[in-house]
Amino acid sequence: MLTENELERYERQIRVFGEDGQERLKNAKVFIAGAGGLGSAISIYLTSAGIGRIRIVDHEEIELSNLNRQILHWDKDVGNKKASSSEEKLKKINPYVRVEAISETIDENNVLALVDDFDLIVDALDNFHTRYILSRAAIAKNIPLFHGAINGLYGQATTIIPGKTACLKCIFPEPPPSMTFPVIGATCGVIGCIQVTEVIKHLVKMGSFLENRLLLWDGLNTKIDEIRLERNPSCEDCGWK
Amino acid sequence: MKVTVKPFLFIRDALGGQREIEVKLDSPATISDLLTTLRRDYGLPDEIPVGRGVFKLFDGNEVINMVVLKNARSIKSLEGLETKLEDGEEIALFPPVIGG
Repeated sequence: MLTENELERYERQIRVFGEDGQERLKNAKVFIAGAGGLGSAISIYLTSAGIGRIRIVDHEEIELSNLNRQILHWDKDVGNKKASSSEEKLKKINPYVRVEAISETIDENNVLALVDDFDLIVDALDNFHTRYILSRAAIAKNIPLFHGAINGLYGQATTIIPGKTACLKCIFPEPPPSMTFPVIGATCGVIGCIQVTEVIKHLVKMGSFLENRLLLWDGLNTKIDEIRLERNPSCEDCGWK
Repeated sequence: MKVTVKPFLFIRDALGGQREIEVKLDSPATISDLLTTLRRDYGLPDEIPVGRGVFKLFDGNEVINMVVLKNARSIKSLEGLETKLEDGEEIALFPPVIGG
């Protein structure tokens, strides 16, 4: 049940998806992997939208060179954990949201416990090794994974539904080479906001999704494209599903 | 035979900015033949300047930094560079994006 204060707080978006949609957001549990550039945009918008419970996981400490894009973290936070910085800011943005920030490295051994009984996973990671672990957890728990990645002025996003769409391993059977990626903060905003839009539509049950479609953002030429995807029936991660 | 190549992001820019390129190949042909043709006849470079850096697509004949999909499936889950091509098939080329 939404309070009078919540009805007023979310009034503009209740006009989009109704009070029942807002109730769905309030009852939702969203897991965000990463509190960096993408994780900042994603967590701020999901918190503002009134998701009931958000768990955000990141083991890193804030560096000065993070601040051009990781807008959850401020000058005063350099040297602190991204998890504690995230929790502090997100709770201030919206006290109606239950925010849990965990400073841990996601690995094969802890991923299922970390994701726990959350309804969906948002990928805000910066490497494919951990993305594969997250993707396998989403498949094992049969919950959607909202993928995003950025590099410079470019970005990509897709929505992965286990058993229905190509998983990360179908699209990228081998991890792309690691590199220190350049990026402007706004690219994280563009891709993070696309991921958030997908999450909200999924939760309030409206619209269609980036299913079997990889959206590509070309910020250099200000263009959006998409690539058609198909499942690999013999995929080592999702072929059994 | 003819296949349709769809390059994306800066790989498209490097190939002249077209959304689709129809490429004629002698049958039988593989992905390797297609990439050789794109490099030889269409100007697909080994590396592309991106911002203040360089993005390397090829090391010799090895594809090191480019995702290749044939009809929406990664060639790495097919037969790699030896994946056979048929008339009318669609090949997507795009750079991997990994950061967050």
